[in-house]
Amino acid sequence: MNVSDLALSEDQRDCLQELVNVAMGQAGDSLARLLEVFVNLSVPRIQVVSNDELPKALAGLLGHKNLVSAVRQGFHSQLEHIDVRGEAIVVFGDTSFKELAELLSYEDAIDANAEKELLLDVTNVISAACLTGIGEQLEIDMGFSAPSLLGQQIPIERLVDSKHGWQQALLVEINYSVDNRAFMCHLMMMMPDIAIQALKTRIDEILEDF
Amino acid sequence: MSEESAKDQPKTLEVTNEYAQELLQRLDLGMLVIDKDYNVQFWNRFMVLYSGIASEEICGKKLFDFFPEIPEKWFRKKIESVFLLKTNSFITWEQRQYLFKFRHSRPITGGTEFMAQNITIFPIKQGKKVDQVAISIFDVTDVFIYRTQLEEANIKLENLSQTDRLTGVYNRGHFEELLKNEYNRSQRHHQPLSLLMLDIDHFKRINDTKGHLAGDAVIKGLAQAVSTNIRGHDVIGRYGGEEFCVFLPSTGYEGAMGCAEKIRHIVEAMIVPFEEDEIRITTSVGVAVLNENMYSYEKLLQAADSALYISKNKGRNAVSDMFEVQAQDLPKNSEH
Repeated sequence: MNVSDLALSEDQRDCLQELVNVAMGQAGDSLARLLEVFVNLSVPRIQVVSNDELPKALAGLLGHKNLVSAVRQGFHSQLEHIDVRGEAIVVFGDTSFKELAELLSYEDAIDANAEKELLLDVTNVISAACLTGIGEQLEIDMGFSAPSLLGQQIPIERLVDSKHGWQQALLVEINYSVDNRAFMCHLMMMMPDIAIQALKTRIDEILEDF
Repeated sequence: MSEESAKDQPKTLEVTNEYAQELLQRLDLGMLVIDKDYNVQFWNRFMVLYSGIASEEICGKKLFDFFPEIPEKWFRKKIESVFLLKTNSFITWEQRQYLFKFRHSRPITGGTEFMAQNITIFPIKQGKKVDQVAISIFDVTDVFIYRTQLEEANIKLENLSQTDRLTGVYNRGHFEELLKNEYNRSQRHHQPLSLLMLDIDHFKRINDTKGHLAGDAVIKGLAQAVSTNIRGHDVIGRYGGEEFCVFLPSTGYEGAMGCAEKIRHIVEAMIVPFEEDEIRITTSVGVAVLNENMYSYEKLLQAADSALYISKNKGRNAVSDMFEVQAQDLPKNSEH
């Protein structure tokens, strides 16, 4: 599979961007109702990155080189008998756990365990809201695995071990902020080669219907 | 129906209500359903067996009334997110060991008191509407126990580790252990035993001017040079930062001095490559030999240490023995 096979055409990119935008609108609405605060979501940025460029691309999207905390969550589906699998990584910068705890109504004191659980909970809420939305737009039924911690206060290059069997990945980045709070995080949705192929086929079908 | 036609038409199992009930009841995982008011609607056999609460007893009643240990506000937020986002939510044992405080199925071989649980909460969709959520509970006490055992084993391994990471020679703890054994054996059999203590001259200067990685390189270089120039039954250990010890079994004064002088000479001639640089070092050595007055192996170490101090005083890149110390009556354990 070479690079040109995977690159999205202008139409495909516009279509995907539109679908993701609609999904994000819905996700923002759900999150606002759940957390009872207004959640600002950036316009999703979509790109296809190669394995060796990924760390650089992530650093570029995150816009800083500080230490981060991150949680990953897998999602999986089938499209025309092709595995559509990917992982969502939610990256937290200098997180104020006190603010997160308030957002999610934690009553317990915030110890090390509670901090981890907060990161997992926020990730689940954020990624599930967005991914389900995207799945609905693409008319695919998605399953999710439990979120797990990639690391706390680790350098960005340690987020993704790029040795694992893929050459290209579709990367969708959205950042979240909450009105009147310092809290901010990034959602990175990534799908490897084989999933991109399936996704492109589905996008073409949607384009034909217009 | 003949056998032939049964083969032709593989039949999907018809899941009747009764059948589904039996499946859900017998599943080896906890399963319950609650509505928006937290009333329990379904409570399977797993839940009955571990909680001791019958299905008739809890169904139609609030979950919190039976399990006051569940942090209510936190749990409500979890459940609300499932109703609202219509997506799964998870609770893993690593963050919270359990949601329901159940005893587990390893009362004998366990080690932890309560069942570790992985929990998935999922919406029960009826069309676009979600009026109930289901909670499934996996017993992962085994995983919990294995993980705990693994962590304990790792700690033990670390304590037991015998080699120094940087140089690959024995670390101080293990070296002293071996020295102690050799000391005891030598005393018993009235055999000679000698000890060399050596360190790198002006090591701090190398660290300060060329950096810690250069410092590491010369430490490694010295360890390798010494290791390859001693006999098979001689033992080397890293004693401190840039300090090494070598004990020479069945070796008296003459042999020990010869070995020390050989090491000094080899190190003097050695080049340690570091990046584009070539670093030269020298070493100072102190030599001690076992005698009847040494009632512990520590005395032997002390004597070698004092002799090393004499070498430093001589202007470094030198070998001294413990008899020079006695002649000068120097204080013990001095700074180098």
